[in-house]
Amino acid sequence: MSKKKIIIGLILLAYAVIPVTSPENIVHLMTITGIWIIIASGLNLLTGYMGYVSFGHAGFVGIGAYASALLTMRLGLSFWSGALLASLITALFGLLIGLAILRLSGTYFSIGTLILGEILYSLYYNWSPVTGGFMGLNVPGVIFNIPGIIHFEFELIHWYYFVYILVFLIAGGLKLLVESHFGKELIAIRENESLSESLGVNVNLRKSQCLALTCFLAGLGGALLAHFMRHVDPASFAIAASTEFLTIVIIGGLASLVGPFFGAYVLITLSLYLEILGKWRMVVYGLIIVSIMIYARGGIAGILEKLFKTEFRK
Amino acid sequence: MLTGVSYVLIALGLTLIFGVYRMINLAHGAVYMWGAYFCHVFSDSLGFNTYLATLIAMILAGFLSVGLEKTVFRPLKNNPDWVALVAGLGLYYALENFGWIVLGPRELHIHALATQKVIRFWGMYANLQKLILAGLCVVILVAMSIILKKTGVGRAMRAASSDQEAAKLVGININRISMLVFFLGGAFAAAAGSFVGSLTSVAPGMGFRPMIIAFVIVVFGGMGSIMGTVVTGLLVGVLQNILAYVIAPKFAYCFTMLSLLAVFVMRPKGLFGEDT
Repeated sequence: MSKKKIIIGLILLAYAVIPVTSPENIVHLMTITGIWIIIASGLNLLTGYMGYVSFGHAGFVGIGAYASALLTMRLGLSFWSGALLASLITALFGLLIGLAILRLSGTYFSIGTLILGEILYSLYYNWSPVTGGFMGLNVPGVIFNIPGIIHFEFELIHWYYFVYILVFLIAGGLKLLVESHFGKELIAIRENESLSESLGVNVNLRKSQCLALTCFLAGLGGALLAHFMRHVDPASFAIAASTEFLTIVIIGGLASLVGPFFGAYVLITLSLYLEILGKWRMVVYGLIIVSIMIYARGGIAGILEKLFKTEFRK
Repeated sequence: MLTGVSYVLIALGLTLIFGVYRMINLAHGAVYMWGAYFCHVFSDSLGFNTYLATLIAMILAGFLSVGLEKTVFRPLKNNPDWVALVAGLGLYYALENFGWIVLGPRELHIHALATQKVIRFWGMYANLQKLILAGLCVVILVAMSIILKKTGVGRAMRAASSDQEAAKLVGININRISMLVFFLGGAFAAAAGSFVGSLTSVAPGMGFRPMIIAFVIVVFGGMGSIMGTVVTGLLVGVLQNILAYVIAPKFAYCFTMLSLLAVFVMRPKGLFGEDT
């Protein structure tokens, strides 16, 4: 067994042990962080690998959250089919909107997604009959049911294991994807779009596939968030939330598979410890983003690369 | 119309900055908010005349903007676009939330006598303060076009925005031009903030939406074109009011944004920009 496998095994073991040994609030935080990692991994694909910086990602997460909440509440679907369907709806939305916004590039794409995020937020906030307006919706919990064999309601510990199994499945999937031809083509698009087109990369197809995948993960994250928190409200999908997802990806290190993990844990730790600062929290938070941009643009993965001389980023 | 005029002023600063720096300054909305707050401090707390207070606010906000340029944006020059964007967003958060600490959750007001006066001409009624704002906007626009066309500084600014390297070669100090541009941008934003503050109110979160709309205006106006900025700015202001009237006030913002996004996608170079 190689050294790498042992390390991965140890990490998985640590994740398995955490909920048993830690207090409940930590497990709760870890679960939320896990959902963030799912969303941020998707964003990383778009922003890190393909180089399209999205400023309105929370809007997509919102689609997943509201879609799954409404599907389960209004149509009486189970959480499982509701969440899957919601993710697919978000991906479909990404495909459609991608026809328009993927024609933009660079700064224009960022501003386009910023506007899109504002539109979606304003929709969640104002379309009260469907989204419940600023009060939001109360979402039913999740029941795990195989008829005749097992029946229980999801509690914190089930959520924890469920979310982290998904996290590692997705991380594994993304690793395969990034190392495949597809990933290399995305990187080619990031480096030089017209050159990769002339080298035979189907740029438009790859771009929409990438956006759809990103949106699928955002939708999945949104659905999980809605059912785990048992509540959706528009404030969770404002521009501030989009910034948070982007910050996770950037702090962690763009185009790095482990980046979203680092980013999400650093952010959650920061927000915990910055709680002492009270009102100053967001000020410090903003300044941290600025200083990362000035001094450490590779994020944490970039710093670790320098320290250990191994490659975390592509 | 009022909304349009204030958008024009904010967008004008952004256009100038974009022209020289080739970056979008996401901290601009915070400068606008702080400009309004400075004006509130000088007019209401210290009892200055409102217009004097506006002038002081413009100068202070100008310096604030220059400070941001020197400490944050200059070190980030020559990096990919998104670096400055994200840094600007970080700055915006820091400044807005600092605003929450200083201002508190209350909405503040700037008292200006002119807001209560209504002027009547040709059978139409108009609020004096709004007229003054429109007048100020015209003055600034005319002055800016004259400065850009006729004076040495203006020529240097245009040179810097069309070709930085060449401008450096003929001995133009790019850093000084950048500072000037940031100063003017900050000052115009503060003017808009002060007037909007006197007509509605001053609050920490007031800068975000006008800023986003101003970006879109800058893009539509064809990045760096003053005329384009003015026309689109007014158009957007009118559009928003019409939509509020026709559809529902609740969804006016949403639909304005939607129509802007549609135009944005179809003409990324802007309505008045050159096709390349």
